[in-house]
Amino acid sequence: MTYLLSRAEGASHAAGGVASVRDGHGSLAMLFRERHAELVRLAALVVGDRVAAEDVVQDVFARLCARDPLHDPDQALAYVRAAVLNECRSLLRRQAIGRRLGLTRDLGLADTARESAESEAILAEDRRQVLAALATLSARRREVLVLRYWLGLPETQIAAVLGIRPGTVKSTAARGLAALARKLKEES
Amino acid sequence: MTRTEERLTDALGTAARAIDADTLHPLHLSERRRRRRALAAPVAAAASVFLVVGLAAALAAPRLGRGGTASPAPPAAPDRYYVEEDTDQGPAVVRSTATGRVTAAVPVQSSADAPGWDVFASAANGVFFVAGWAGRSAEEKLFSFRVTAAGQISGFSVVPGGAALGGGRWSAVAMAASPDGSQIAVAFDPTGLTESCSGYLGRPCPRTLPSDYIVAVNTVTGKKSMWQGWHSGQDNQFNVDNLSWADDGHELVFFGEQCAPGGWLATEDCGHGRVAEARTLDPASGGGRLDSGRLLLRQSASYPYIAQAVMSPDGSMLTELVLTGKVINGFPENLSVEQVSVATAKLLRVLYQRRGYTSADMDIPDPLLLLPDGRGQNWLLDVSFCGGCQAGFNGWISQRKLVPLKPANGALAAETW
Repeated sequence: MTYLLSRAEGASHAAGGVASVRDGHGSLAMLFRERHAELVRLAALVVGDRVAAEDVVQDVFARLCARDPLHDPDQALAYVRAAVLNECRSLLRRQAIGRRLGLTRDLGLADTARESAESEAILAEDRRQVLAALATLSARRREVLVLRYWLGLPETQIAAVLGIRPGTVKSTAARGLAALARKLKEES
Repeated sequence: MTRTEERLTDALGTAARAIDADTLHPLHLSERRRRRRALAAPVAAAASVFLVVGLAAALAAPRLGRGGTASPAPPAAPDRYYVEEDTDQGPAVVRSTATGRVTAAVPVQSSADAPGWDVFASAANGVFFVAGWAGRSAEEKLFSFRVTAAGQISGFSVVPGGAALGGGRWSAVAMAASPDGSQIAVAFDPTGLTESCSGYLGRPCPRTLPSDYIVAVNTVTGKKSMWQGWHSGQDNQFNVDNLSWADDGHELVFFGEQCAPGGWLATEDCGHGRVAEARTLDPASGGGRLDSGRLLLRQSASYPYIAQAVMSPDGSMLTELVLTGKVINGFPENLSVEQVSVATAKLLRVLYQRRGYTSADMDIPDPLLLLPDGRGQNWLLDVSFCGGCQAGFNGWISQRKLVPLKPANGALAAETW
C-alpha cells in the first residue's frame, strides 16, 4: 500500500518521495490537504454514508493522480467537486439498480452501525427528519440543495460544478425545497 | 430564509461537523478501497459444483456461434410505441419505435424521485401495466393504461387489487401480464427494508434480507395469490429476475437466482455465488412457496451464466440471455440471446450474439435485461454497466441485429412495449 498524501503531512514529504514524482500535481496536493475533509463531507451529505463518502473521494483523487496535472488551478476545486459528485451519482445508481436486481444490499453496514451511537448523540431528531427527507430526493436535487445550503455556493458556481444552466439550478433548488417541505409537512 | 431552508442548513451543518477531519484516512494509491459488489473470483467459483436438472442437461453444450441452429423466424413488425424510463432523467415516457420521439409521459413518479423503481409490463391485447407511485402517494400501486394510435396514454387507472402493493416495505422488481391481460404477476423484493435504514447518517440495516416473493393479481376480480421465496441458509435468499406466462395464462414461470454454495459469480450479497434457475407455478393453486414449483432449468458448469430466461406464451420454448466464453474483467466476453425448446431441450435458434461486449475498463454489466413484447415475438435487450453509469446499449432485436432505441446507452430503469 502506498500512502501518497495525508491531510496532515501534505504532499511535500508524503511516502518518501512519491510526491516528488508528482511535482506537477502540486495544486492537487494542496487541494487534498485543504479540502479533503470538505469533499468527504460533501460526498457524505449526498450519499448518506461516511465510509462510502471516503471511498468516493479516495477514488477521485487516485484517478486524478494517475492523470495529467490539473491545467487550471483556479478551476481545480470546481473540477474536483464535480468529479466527487459524479462519483456519488454513480454510486447511488449502482446501489439503486443493485437493490432493484437484488444484487446489492447496502453500503456501510458495519461502519454505520458502529457510528450510529455517535450520530445518535450528535443529531437531534429534528435534524434526523430533515436528513431522512433529503435522502428521499433525487440525486440531482440533493446535490443542488447540499451545494447551496451547506457550501453556500451561488447559483452560477453550482451550475459550473454540476454542468447545468443557472436557471436549472434555480428550478431544481425550488423543486427540491418544495419536495422537502412536503415531506416535512411544512410550508416552503 | 424559510423554515425549511433554516432546518436544512442547520441539519446539513451539523451532519457535516459530525465527520471529524482528523479521523479521515490518508490517500492510498496502490489499493483501491472502493467497496463495490465486485463479482469476485468467478473463474475459481465456476469450477465448483453445478447441478444440471432436466432441461439444463442439454443447455450445457457449447453454444455461441455453433452451426446447425434454425434461422431466425421471420420478424414480426415491432410495436409502434415503447415505454422507457432512463436511470437519470425520468419520468417514464412513451416513445415512437421508429423515431424515438416522445409522444406522452406516463403519470407516475420518476424512479429517481419515487421510493423504488417503476416496473412495466404489457399484454398481447395492447394493455400496459405499471407498478409505481402516482401523484404524491407514498404507496406503490398497480396501474393499467393503453397507448393510442397517436402514442397518447388513455384509461390510466388503478387495477382492481392493485392498491397497497408490497405494503410499503417491499417494492416491485419484475412483472408480467398474461396474454389477455386478465392476470398480472409481480415479484417484490425487500427494497423498503433497506431504504428505511439506508445507512443515511445513522441507521443500521438488517444483516439478513428475506427472499423475494411473487403475487399474481386477477385484474378483473382483484383476487391475489402469493408465493413466498425461500432461504436455504443464512444469506441464501432467492431473488426473482423476471416473470412470464405460458399456456394462455394457465402457468406462471419465474426465473431468479439463489445465493448458494457452489454458485458462480460471487457478489457482495451472494458471497458463495449465484445459482440461477427457472420454475413453473400453478396460478390455480392459490399460492405457496416458490420452490414448490416444477424446476425447468438450472445453470450448469459449462453454461454457468444465464442472466435472463423468459417462457414463450405457448410454453414451448425459453428465450434466454446468456454469457459465454473467456472471462474478461470478471465476466464472460460474449453475450447471446438464444431460444431453447422446452420439450427437447435443444437450441432452436440464436436471435442475437455479441462478442466482446465488455472490456477491461468496463464495470459490472448491470443491468442485463431481456424483455419481450406483449405477444412474446419481439425482444428488447438492455445492457449497461455499474447500473447505468457507463455506456451500454439497448434496442430491439431484428434479424440478429440490435436496432438501437433511445436512449441507446443502456441506462434504463425500465423499458417495455
